[in-house]
Amino acid sequence: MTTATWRDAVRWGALGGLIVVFIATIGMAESFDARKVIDPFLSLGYLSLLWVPMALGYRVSHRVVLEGTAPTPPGARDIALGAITGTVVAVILCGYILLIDAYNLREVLVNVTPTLGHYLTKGVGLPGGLAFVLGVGVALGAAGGALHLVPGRPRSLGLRVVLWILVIGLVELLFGSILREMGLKRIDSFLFNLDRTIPWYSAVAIGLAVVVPSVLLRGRAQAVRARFNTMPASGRRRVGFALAAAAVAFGMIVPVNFGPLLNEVLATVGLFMLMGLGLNIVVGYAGLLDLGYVAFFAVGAYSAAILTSSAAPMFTPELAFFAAVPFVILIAALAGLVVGTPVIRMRGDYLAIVTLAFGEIARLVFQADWLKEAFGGAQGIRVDPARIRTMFGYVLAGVGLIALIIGLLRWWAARSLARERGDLDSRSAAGAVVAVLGAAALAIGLAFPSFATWTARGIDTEQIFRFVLVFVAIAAFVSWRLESSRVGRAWMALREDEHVAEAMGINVVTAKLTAFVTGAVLAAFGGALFAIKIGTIYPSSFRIVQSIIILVIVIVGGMGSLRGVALGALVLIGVLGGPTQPGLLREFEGYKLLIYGVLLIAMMLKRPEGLLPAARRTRELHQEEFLQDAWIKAKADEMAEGA
Amino acid sequence: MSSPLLEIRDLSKVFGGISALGGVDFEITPGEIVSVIGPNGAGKTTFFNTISGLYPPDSGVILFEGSDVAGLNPDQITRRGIARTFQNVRLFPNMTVLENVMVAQHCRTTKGMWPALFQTPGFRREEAEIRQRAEEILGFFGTRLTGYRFDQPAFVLSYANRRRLEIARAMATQPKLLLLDEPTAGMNPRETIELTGLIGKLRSEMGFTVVVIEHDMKVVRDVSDRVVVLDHGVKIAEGTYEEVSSQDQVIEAYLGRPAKAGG
Amino acid sequence: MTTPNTLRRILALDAPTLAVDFFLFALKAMLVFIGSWAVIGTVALHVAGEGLTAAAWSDVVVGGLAQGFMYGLIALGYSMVYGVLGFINFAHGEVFMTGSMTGFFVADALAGLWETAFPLAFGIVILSSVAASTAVAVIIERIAYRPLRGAPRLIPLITSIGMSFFVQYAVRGLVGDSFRTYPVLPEGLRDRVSFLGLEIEGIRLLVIVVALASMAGLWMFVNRSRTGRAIRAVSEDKEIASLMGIDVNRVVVTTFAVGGAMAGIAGVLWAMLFRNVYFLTGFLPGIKAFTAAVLGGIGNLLGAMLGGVTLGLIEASGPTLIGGLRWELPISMGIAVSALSLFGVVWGLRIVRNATPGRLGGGLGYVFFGAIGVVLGLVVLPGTTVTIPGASQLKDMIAFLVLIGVLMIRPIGLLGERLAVEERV
Repeated sequence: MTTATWRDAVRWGALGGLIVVFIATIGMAESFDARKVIDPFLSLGYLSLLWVPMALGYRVSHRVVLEGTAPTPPGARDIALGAITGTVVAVILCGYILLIDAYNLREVLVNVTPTLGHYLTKGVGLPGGLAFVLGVGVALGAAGGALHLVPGRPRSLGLRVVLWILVIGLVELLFGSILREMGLKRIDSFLFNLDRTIPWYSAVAIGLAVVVPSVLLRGRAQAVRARFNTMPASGRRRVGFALAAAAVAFGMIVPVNFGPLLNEVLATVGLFMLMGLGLNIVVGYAGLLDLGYVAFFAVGAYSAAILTSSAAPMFTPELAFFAAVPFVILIAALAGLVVGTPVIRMRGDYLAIVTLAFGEIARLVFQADWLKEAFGGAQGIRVDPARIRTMFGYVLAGVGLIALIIGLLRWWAARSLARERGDLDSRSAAGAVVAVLGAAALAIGLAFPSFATWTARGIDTEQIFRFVLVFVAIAAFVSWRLESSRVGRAWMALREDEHVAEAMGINVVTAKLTAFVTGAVLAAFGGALFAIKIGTIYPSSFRIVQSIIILVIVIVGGMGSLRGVALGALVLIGVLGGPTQPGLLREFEGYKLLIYGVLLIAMMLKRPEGLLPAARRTRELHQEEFLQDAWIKAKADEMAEGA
Repeated sequence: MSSPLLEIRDLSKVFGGISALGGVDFEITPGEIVSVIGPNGAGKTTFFNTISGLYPPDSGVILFEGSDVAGLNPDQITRRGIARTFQNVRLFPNMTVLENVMVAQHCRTTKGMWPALFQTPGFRREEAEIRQRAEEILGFFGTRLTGYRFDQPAFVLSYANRRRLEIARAMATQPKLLLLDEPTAGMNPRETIELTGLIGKLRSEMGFTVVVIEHDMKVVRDVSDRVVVLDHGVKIAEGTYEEVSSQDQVIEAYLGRPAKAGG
Repeated sequence: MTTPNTLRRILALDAPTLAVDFFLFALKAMLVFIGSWAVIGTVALHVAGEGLTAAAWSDVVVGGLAQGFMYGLIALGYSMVYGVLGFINFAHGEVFMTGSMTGFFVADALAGLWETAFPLAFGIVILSSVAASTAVAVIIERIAYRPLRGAPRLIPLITSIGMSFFVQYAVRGLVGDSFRTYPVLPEGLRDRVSFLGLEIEGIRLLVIVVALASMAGLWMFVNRSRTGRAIRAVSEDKEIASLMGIDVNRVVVTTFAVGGAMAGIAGVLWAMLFRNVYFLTGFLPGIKAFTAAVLGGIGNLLGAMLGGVTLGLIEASGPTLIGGLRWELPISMGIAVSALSLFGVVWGLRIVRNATPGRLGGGLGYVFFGAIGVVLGLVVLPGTTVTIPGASQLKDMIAFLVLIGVLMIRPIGLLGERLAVEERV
């Protein structure tokens, strides 16, 4: 199937028409209109419709590249097919506009208001508006088809320009506040209008800013990437670690410069990143689809609240937050065992549904009047602000102490290894450096314990963010270390084929329980932080939606991939927001879960391994063998499935 | 002769009313290579699955080094020293070649979560040992699974290499007894000959005791000290290849009753 | 008692496995213990005249039956899809919800007819709801599941979770997030009617009758028709069936359509009983119906119905049964518990002495918890009462505990799975 026919064009066009009508009918287009991307003419609302004819116009003459056959060269045919597709989309939309003009559907479809037709024709009115819609449809479809004629590199450059303009236009909050805080008011006022939209000239400027360096630095970027790929695995790991450490350090310093709103979003992102990392251990490494992950989050939140707060009716130990953390860990580990044990011998899909049941049970228990004395029932528990007074210096000292111990151990280990082999190992130096840094942090922390005192009950979003970041770093470190250890390998074997793993001497019971407990503890950290972040916890904060959104993060990012989870949390939670927390794009509020659903489906259909899949870089290095063995992979999957 | 390494008495397994194994007796002494043959559906793979603990036996005794292992979990049986390969090659496809062999040393190593988190000296030493041993074992198969292959995911390997990797993985559990389920299935003649030699080497160089399920009679003749014939879950013959191959009952089991075969 | 050989066998087991077996045994024992206490206590309270009246009981039972039959109808969809494709169609609850929602708009439009000519209006509402549900189920299959034929089965499960969210919020976008209230039922259905000597609310009787009729129809369809035979063949073995000239895709679509139709009927019935429908209505009934399907044995149609009814009854009587824990255990019952536990200890010792290592944990559990039971029965239990306020809030929790308990104690369900027996390897 290398050439598409007009039949295909009509079919794709019809699909596109349905998509456009759907987006209009559920009210997405109109409610997204408030967000302007490029000032006079393009809003997010129109954008949510306009991508359809363009993308489908491109898709219709998509070529399947077969080995050994040359693809048909692109030509006018592609443009024509794209135009047909666009026409069909537009015709369907016109029919829809006529329909909603003639009949009042508002009784049933709440978003089909009289203004919708007006909006869809961009205010032109009926007869002229239809022509306008048709014209736009044809033009965009043809433009989509014409993309095939543009050679690869300019096309990807163009794509990048569009992407950057969109990103800057959509999350102007992020860029605006960074620029303003950095004292670059002038750039800010050049980029954005008073109503925070991008005027057309700054769009052009952004385009130039993307294209020029990319053209100039092309060779260098490739060289860096090539060097990274040819590094030995251990070297790559070290570079990855250094980058991650730099990101954390950056995050620790920078939030001073963000506004409270951005810090709030960042804290939410961090919280979900933390839980994503935890779920990644359970789902990504060990392959156990846990749909009730929110239960551990709830357990963490409730145990932290009960232990620290005086408002909890039954237990009032009123510990300081950090004194409570060890108990939270303990309780979470127990919860992990309790949930993990019954599901050990269950097969995959039953495991999913039983964990989901546990998730709901946890919420119902916290909500029940029966246990109101202990958990506060539906009114929840108010966290006592005075109890969360934390001197950040002690946190730093604690981290320093751990670093010191690790560094010394590493140094010692490398020394003894070197002595055995008789050659000197550079790693002993790395251990020494870590130890010295740790000692320094310990000293600074103890010397200035109040350099960042944090008293308020989590309203101080800046500190919350830092705090979350510390835990994210811990979670990432734990995952990273375990990934390439005996435990991590056992988990992966379990994921690949449970029965064979067992036959190779892996104790399935221990391996599964370790995964559950580790995941539970990380989620409980998240819960504890959540409790102090929002101040009062209600059972209704711990719905299944939460579990599913964490799962979406893990899946979109790439199961088993740390960078994937980080990216997933950053993009999804940052832009769309969590189940109850807003993201940068408030307009998405009502359609957030719709978009999460679509993302989940699209990822499973098109790219089940995620956006940044776990590193198998050999794929790039030995391309030819992969092509030749493609069928074997299919075979292997089949076998793994047949098990 | 020394005492048997594995001694099986009256092993039975029933699936939904059909007797897959009906009272099999079996015995192997250290250093032996025994082939198990029989027509399709004779219960050979069930025999392996029962020994390696994937199916709990319905009745019977499996004495390994004198202690009963019947009904233990597969991982415990592997820990005691019985390792196996699978008829339909079941590697961990998304793990690298090296990881496949490293993970199989799980039951011979001890360092858990905390040592891994803090990278204690013991952990680092053990990790180095695991890696080194894995490389040595893969080196046993020549250069096919070494070098750049180490870091390739298992699913890219050719069919023959997968079979080899599976044997390597079984070797990595440091067993005393190795159960190979049709190691030459799907291999071309040259590869088959090579693997036949390899099975011999498993005993002479690595000191394993080996039980092989095999369909290729040439391989059976070349490698085995002794042959056991199963049919419908019952042992119908046992002896050297020559003894067994001339028995009427065996020929009958393979070709059907003479009346039918002649017709 | 413990021979050296037994001791050696126990020591040879690895501790985690043993601990897990032990813990699982404890969980099961606890579930069974509390369950039986609740049931016996309820009966005892009833005998003592402190329980519900007979009329209240008949309400509970009929309510449970009505609810259960609706669960059963939805469960059929889960069960059939699981039988044919082998995965949990998480979005099935949403199929149910769309049917219910469509039914509302049609019923609302027919408000006049609804009062005057109820059977006709009811028929139209049911038909349109069935049409909508069927269409949604088939579209979902086409978009989300067909491209995944042959993928590992967790992949379509995850897809169906995404689908579930998509449908929920698409419906919210289309018709808004307000509660939609079905028109008031006509006179005859609101009254109590006498049936088999019971005073039943008319609507509940209608629900039960319609559900039974639909199930009977489905039963005939699957077991008597040509297409039904094809469905059964495909659920046995897809490849062989396609070699036999069966169009597997068509069968799968039919399965989804039939399951969707059943969910549509359930949707209307549900909304008539509870009056309200909104975009999240499908979630909880969906999960409960899945529980029912598992309870009866997934892939098994009779099982789905039986599971539904059982779950409905358990749920309806659950809060009352929890009230049974208020019953003060008399000394005789304590002695009975002790005796039973003693028997458990003996039984456990027998298992321990003869068992294969795999069953040793359970045997030890019998011994240990049997011993505890002996002490408990004689010392603690007599005179103990447990009062749980707000028991009706725990209805959902009981349903979920039933799911977990069933999957722990008998994973193949009451009637067994009709799927090809899955071997361990």
